Amino acid sequence: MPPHYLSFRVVLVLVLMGALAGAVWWIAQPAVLSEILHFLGV
Amino acid sequence: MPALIGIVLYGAACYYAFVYVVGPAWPFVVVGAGGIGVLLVIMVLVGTLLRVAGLAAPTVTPFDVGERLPDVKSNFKRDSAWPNYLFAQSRTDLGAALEHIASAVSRMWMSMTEFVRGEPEVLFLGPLLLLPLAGAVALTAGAAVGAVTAYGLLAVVLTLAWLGWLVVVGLLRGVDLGIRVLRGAKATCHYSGCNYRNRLPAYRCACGQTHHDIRAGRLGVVVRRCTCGSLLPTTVLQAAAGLVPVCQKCDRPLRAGAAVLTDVLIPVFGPASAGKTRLVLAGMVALARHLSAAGGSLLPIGPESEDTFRDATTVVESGIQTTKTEADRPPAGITVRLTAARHTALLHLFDAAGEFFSNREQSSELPFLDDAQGLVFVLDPFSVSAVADDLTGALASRLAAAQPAMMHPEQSYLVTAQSLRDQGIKLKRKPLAVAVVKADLLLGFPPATGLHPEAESGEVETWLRDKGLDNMLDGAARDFGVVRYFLVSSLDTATDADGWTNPLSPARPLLWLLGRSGVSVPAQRLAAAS
Repeated sequence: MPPHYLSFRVVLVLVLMGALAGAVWWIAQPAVLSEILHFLGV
Repeated sequence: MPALIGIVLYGAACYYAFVYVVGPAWPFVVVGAGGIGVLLVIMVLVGTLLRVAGLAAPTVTPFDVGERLPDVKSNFKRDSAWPNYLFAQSRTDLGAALEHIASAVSRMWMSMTEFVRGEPEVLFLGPLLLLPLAGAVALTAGAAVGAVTAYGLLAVVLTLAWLGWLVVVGLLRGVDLGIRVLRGAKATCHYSGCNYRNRLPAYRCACGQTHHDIRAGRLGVVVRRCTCGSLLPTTVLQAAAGLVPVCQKCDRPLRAGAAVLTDVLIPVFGPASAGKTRLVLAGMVALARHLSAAGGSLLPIGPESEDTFRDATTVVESGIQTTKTEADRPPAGITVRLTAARHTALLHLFDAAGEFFSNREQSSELPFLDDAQGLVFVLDPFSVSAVADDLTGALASRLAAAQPAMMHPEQSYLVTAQSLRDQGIKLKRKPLAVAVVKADLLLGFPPATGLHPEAESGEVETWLRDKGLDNMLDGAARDFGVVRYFLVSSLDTATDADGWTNPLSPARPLLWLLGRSGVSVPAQRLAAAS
């Protein structure tokens, strides 16, 4: 298998991980977090 | 009565379960299950891309490119090499991940349904069942939202990569082709009966696999990986440095430097016995000496050309007669690599038997006529009636010694020119060198009145008109972009001690055509000589 297959896959995984990290960071923002907690009734 | 009490108690239990369990718990279930759905998408995608056992997608190999990539606009199937990740494997990976995600979600729903069917008494839990139901719906929705987001993100990344690929491929192809067009480079097959000519030869890998289109594309941007694993370049300029160029038509190896060096193809035509072969042989040897004197070089390429050049040198230096060219098959090209004034070029001289030019059917078997940079027409003055008629009595032996061509030059020219026009060849773009040969036998005798060893093109033309060849000359002027006349002696090389050609040299028509093809050979040392 050509090495560039792995390179592409690693890049795509990094993009996904980055997006996930971004989503977690966004959820952790006080404004968003308070909305979620309010929804949960906590 | 007890039944009624039971129903009331069950209803009350359901009410309290809904109010005190389902009500407070469902937001946690929905948020948690939705998050699990999103994470499921991410984890499956990552697992598929990193080829975690059980999730890995099938690998697209060189054997799959025929099915997985679009057909090429060519006479050949797409080459067998590892495809670029963007064009086959990416879709396979993302498609496999999507199947895994859909499979996981559907398995969840199936197991829930089967559980309820297998244990119907759980239905008595009533409102409490809303929690797993809400969880399943939330997980499905989370997976759907996660999939749309993740796939959208990956699609953007892959589209950007595709745009980058497009730019790099366009640049590589453009630069590669541009340099070769500016050089006037083409790949000419020298094999008899093929003589195919184009700008893009095939290249053969060390494993024997032929790649018909080595250029950057879906099989690789900067390099391509052959089925055998070898890395091959994706430009013709790079491929020429290490791979064997192969004819796209007959699949036989071409000369080194094909398609990257300036490629000059000069067919020599004329009737049988006009002296074409002699002109080619003597012209080649004279050209070698001239280039050597000018600081350049001429090297025959390939064993056949080396043998021909060796024989030509022997024939010209010893003054022996030239063997008649075989008329039973189309000619093989003689290829020489010449360098002059920092310019390197491949020169192909094609010498077909005169019989090939005697009728249209046979001359159509000479494909190299189509794409020549210029042509040399060999005109035997002794086959012109006005010349032959002057050589009677005591001069008849001179006519016999000249062994005149079997066909009148006008007829030979008209048949060949008509054949070329019939093939759609734009003669107006090509130069024609008319070589009036056998000057060594002609000069000094009555028919040569008006000619001298240093006769210019105009003087030779005037002399030919005097001999009644107006029709042919007018036709040549009409047909070709530019016509130049040379008085030539092919008996020897007609060069001085240093190698510089004199005006009668058989190399003169070749030097003129080379100059018009962009291969500027230093002019003869006329200034120094005078």
